[in-house]
Amino acid sequence: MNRKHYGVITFPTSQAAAAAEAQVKAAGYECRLIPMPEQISAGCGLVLQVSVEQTLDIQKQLRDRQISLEGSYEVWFENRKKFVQKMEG
Amino acid sequence: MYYFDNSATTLKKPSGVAEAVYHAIADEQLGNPARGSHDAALNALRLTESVRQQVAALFGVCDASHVSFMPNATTALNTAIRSLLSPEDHILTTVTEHNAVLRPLYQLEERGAKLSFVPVDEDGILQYQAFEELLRPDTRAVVINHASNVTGNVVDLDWIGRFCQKHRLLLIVDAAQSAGILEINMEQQHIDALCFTGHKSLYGPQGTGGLCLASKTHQLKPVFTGGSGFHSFDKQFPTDLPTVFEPGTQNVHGLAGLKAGLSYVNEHGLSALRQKVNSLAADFAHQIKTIPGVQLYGKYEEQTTSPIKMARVPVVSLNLTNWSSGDLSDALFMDHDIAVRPGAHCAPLIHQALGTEKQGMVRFSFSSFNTTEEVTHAVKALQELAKESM
Repeated sequence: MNRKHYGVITFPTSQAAAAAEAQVKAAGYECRLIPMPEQISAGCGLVLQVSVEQTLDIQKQLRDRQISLEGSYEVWFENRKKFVQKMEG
Repeated sequence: MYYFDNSATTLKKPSGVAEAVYHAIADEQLGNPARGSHDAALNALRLTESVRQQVAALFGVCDASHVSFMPNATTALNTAIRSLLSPEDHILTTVTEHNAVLRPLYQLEERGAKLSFVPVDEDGILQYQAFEELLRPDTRAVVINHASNVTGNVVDLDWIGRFCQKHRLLLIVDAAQSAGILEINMEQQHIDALCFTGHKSLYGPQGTGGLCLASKTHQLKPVFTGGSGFHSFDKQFPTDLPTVFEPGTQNVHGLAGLKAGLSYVNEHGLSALRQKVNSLAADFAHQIKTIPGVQLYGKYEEQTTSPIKMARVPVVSLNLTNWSSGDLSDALFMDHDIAVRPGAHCAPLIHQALGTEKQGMVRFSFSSFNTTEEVTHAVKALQELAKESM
């Protein structure tokens, strides 16, 4: 996983995040639960970190499997600064 | 000790349960679920979710996210009643209920709700025709136990589910005495809320249990609020399942034990476990019913002509002549090393209905770890005590 440029999928609950992680791993994708980027929501929470190229595919598969999710974002770093942009899918 | 108080809690657990709880702490691998993304936190989260999946599969819950963990069935019942019902509602319940149902309903009654109680016959069997008779235009829900913790009689949940579906009522079920013994399928039986405990016939540790909700959307109000691990700057607690009913830190160490208990139940199968415990209880009841002075409570014979399905959980409640149940249970323990439960069993209305408010009942309740030798010992003990009381 490129730690300087990746996608994240956000969820309403940690239960949904864990369920998504299990589904995505079972489907053979690389993924990891990481802390919520502060640019998306201040406070705590977990998001699923995935390859940016695969993010929307994974989001669709999770929606097809009735996993409750909120949205997807592209995350990248430039000069040690983090940028986050909503991905439409 | 000859332990026959399994309806209070199963004393003997599958060996994997204690080991799981021990390792949950000793291995230092389980942190606080959803409170970080390090391995310890995620291990705890994944363990919790795996137990959620097991529970959902056992009870036919539409989605594992509809299982919220709580300390016991009492908390689950309070939560379901407080979250789903309101003071404007009329609620149907029965005289067989435990105080875990009655007291939250009485609290709601103090705020304006109306309650009606379905009565029982002399064997403690519900008078099913009363459900229709007590129905009102403002009736909102039926709150009912699946099996009586006093008589061992099982409610025909299929009938109740159809009744609730027909009249568009919520069905809230107390499965404290049936989870792990009887088949339950929330979707097929039209159950809206199922409240279970982990430490009885699911063989988990005390402090585990939960509330399962059906697939249809409910207006969920959180009952307790606090940290959720998500949306920390919101003033309102999240209303997403299962978080809405899981404020604060989960009992992950207990859930590790519950997972082992559920594995034991799955490994042996509900049918085989039920056959064993009900066989022990039936054998015991059969042997003691002829002892002079013994009075059994509950329905033991099949009602072949009735459309209502009869079943039992492994509970045998009795009295011996006019002994108080407290004195008899003490004699059983002091003279014969037998552990049973006397008194009212937190279910006052069934004692009023059966005329045992003062005497109470002595309850023998069985688990899959009881043996025929223990049953023989208990029968002999009652025979001896009966002779003494003549």
